[in-house]
Amino acid sequence: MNLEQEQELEIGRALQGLPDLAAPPSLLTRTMNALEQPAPWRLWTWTKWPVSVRIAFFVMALAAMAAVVVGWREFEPGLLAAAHRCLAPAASAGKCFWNVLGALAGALALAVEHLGKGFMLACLVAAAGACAVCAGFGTIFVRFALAKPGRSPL
Amino acid sequence: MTDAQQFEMLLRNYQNMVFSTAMRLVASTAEAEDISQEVFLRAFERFDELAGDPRVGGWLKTVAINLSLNHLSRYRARWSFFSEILHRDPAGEEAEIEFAAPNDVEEESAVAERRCMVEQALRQLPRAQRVPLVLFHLEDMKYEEIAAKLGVTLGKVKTDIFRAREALRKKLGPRLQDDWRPRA
Repeated sequence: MNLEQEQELEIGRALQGLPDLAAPPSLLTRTMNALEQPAPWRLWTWTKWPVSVRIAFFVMALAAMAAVVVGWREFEPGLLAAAHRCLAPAASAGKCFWNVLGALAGALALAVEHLGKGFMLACLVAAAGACAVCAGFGTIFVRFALAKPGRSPL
Repeated sequence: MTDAQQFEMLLRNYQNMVFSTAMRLVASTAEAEDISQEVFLRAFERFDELAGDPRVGGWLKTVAINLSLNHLSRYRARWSFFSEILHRDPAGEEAEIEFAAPNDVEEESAVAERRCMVEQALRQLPRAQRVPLVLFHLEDMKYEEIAAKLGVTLGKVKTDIFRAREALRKKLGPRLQDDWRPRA
């Protein structure tokens, strides 16, 4: 018998000899309470709602959709103008941001062209290394900070 | 006997088994209790089919395993990093372990003590090792079944189980050689 089989046998014997754990006394009470006081229907999935409520909900949803469609047709010109007025500053800021991104991308392309791919690759490797070092130190810090007294944190 | 009374009897008969199954997989009393409650609520929904069925125990165990694994996979991404570091589940390594009342009242206390040690050691294992080990040894699942259930490779299952056994051996040491069966 090799080591692995021997180990399997030993551990198997130890684990299979375990009796059931005692369930907490609260399990019986809370389960029976949950059965006696089921959650209100509004917390059930839609398919389990009472039929009358499902029909009412469906009719209300249709009415709401109709209201939106009719409202849109009635007020569309005014709404569009108002939306344009409201969104103009945000659109301007977005355009500005887009221009900045474009300029940065252009600068990056120029840098790659002039500095060479090898240099840029080395920069990327250095950045990845820095990230790995930060993650490593961060992990060690968390382990030390949260370690139980008297137990090795590593 | 009413349905509610019959169901309560079923709950009393199987609550330890369902709780143990969930507890050994999730290693947290509160979570195991939530899972056990969910198992029994599902059983109640199908009580018409389950009442009187001799396979009810197997059904409950399967649902308990599936719900425990769902629970673990749902919270894996969010909590695995800190849970592995912290290992501070109040019900985990520090909580007192209470077994269901033994049939033989003269069971030796040494056996009970050794069982407590095994339970403690099991709870202290990292989840990635504990879950396949429990499924293999306590739920009698094959390596292939475990790999399919956990969505990992066969090699990983074997490695994790091997490491889990190694860790248990280290923790339990020479006591592992003792006889684990209660003496009559």
